[in-house]
Amino acid sequence: MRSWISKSIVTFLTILALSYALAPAPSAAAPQAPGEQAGGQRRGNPNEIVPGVPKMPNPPGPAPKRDLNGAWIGPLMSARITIPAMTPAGEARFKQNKPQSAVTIAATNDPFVNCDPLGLTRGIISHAYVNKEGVWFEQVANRMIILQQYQRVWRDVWMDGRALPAKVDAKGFPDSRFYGYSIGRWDGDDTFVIETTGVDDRTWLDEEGHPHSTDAHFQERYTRLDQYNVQFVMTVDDPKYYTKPFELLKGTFYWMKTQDFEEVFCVPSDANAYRDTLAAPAGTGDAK
Amino acid sequence: MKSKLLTCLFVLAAFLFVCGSALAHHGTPAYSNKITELKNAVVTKFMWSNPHSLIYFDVKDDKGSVVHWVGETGAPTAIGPVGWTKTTLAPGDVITVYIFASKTGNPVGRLNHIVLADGTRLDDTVVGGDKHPN
Repeated sequence: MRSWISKSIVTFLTILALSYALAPAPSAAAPQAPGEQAGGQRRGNPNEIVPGVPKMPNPPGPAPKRDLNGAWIGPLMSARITIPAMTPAGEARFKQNKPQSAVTIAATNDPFVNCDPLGLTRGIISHAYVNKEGVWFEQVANRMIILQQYQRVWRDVWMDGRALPAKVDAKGFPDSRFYGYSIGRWDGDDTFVIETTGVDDRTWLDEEGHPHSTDAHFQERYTRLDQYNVQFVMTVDDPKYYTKPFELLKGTFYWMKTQDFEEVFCVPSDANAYRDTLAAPAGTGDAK
Repeated sequence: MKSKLLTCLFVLAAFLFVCGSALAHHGTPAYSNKITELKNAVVTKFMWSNPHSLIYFDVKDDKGSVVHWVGETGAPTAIGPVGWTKTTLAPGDVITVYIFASKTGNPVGRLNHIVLADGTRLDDTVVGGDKHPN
């Protein structure tokens, strides 16, 4: 009897595992917005770090001191830590966001679908982890300029001693911005630290629609490990919406040999065509 | 033996949970999970665009009437690395389309893959598994 039960369980598990493994790509029914799952049949090239980005000579040289200048691809090997519990205000805001994974494509209010600005975290971090897009650092006299491939956005990370605004969107204070207000400093010779606040709360933290408030404080740490690799981690502290600070993403950036980006725009007229000719006929409804 | 049985049940429950989570992550309710094959599809337009690239194509139905289809696939930076380019398709190209059609019955859907006239297969980025880090 016991043997029969055990055999039945093993058989069931085997069938279940096989049926799952051989299922006809249910993921193909998931139109992940910006970059889609990077699970396609990539043409693996052992000489490339990712498709189109050649590997540099190995071993890499030492990290130059206080220098991130140049074009990088990533984040690669990215990983996320579970987002902590939200406050009631955070939960309420989260329910307003309708990611493509939860609703039909015509019903989503994902900013990406309309080519709206992706904002700080999603524009540079969350969006990049599926498409592996480029970012360019260029330090000048009083700031670090960060140029982003997608939509050709730039950020000013001030290094002239100024403080971040104490608040935004209040009388006597500046307006919130899609990419916020940023200041930066070198922590030792290898790590550049960026502090950002005042990010427009219409942007999402990630593809799942996790929200942030304009009071959220973001910290990015870019550590140059060697000539061709930068380690990255971003933390979020948003007590208005989350019960504790958390690491949103960590990963690495790799040196781009060509130092040249393809042009990547989300063009509003293309988005209109997508909405009218595909999303609308595909149906609406299914709020999360 | 009882403890072994409980262990087995626990493993089973955990496995089902993992499978359920993985499958639940896949999706949009918009499209069927069943692949539809559309032979002799004549491309009328290819948009290499964001948020998603679009293929417009015509297919004759069982009655010989031309049906105007639209299929979406990944953004250029997503499908570029798997072999697509802006010039992969041109009006007049005859291809075979494998698509997850809309549940509405309208002739729109998400590509699984296409096969060009020379036999070249090009996949959508979501084919082959879910590598999303979330």
